[in-house]
Amino acid sequence: MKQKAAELGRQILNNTIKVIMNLPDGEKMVLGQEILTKKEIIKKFWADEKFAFNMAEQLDKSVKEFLFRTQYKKARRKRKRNNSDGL
Amino acid sequence: MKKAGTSYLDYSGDEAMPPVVQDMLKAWKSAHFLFYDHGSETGLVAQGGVDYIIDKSNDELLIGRIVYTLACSWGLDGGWEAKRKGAGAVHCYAAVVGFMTSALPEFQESFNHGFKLLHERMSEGLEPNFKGILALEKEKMTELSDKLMKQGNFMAAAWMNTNRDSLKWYDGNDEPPESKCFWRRLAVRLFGPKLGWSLLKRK
Repeated sequence: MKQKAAELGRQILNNTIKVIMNLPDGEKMVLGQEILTKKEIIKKFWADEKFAFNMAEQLDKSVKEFLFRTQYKKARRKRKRNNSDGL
Repeated sequence: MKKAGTSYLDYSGDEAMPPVVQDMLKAWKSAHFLFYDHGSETGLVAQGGVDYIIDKSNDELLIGRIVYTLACSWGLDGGWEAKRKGAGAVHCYAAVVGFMTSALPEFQESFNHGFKLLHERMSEGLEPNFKGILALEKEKMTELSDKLMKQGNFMAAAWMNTNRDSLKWYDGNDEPPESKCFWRRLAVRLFGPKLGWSLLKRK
């Protein structure tokens, strides 16, 4: 169980790093009074554990939410279509 | 607002300082209040970031007004306190507001959507229905987040969702935010929100 959780955590972290590395060079993140360039985001990600954790959590949650919503809609449409075909 | 013929006073740049805005609020007792700038748990920050335009020492200036803010974290404490002291309704964020510059138009749309809906309703003479507007605002933010996700702008989509989740419209029918003060939390648990919050009212 612990191993599974660690594996999942690693996966989420790797995905977050991929997203950060793929940001366009001119991209900026505005966080309240802080404005971070891509370089600064990367630097902060490795230096600030809380920032890294929050970012990974936000991204993971958003992707899951999006997939759930879109896949659920797709599945519902398919179910509807199947039902109407049956009639 | 100009197009709709709504009259307003604009204090931006160097004018956005406590004495000027406070005098304006004292002079225009029936005006509503919009604030787009930095904020913190305790207050709405003045130009230059040194002082607060509104904090707990003067939030009675908001009594009876609809308050629409785009500012970090004010909803955690200050916004709730302003509503508790008699503000008509308070639109605020209970966490740091973030955005990505690559999706600026989408974020601008999300930040202004609630105000546009409110303005439309009030211009038509309808009741504001803050909770209804909040639901529509969150729906719009979800729609924009999906759009960004489909474009592959994952970081912007994540910030859109984070802003959405921290957005509040305090209109008097809300669960209070969890206080950071141990005694207040204890009082709320023992006596319920209404009595718990008034028992520990700060002077």
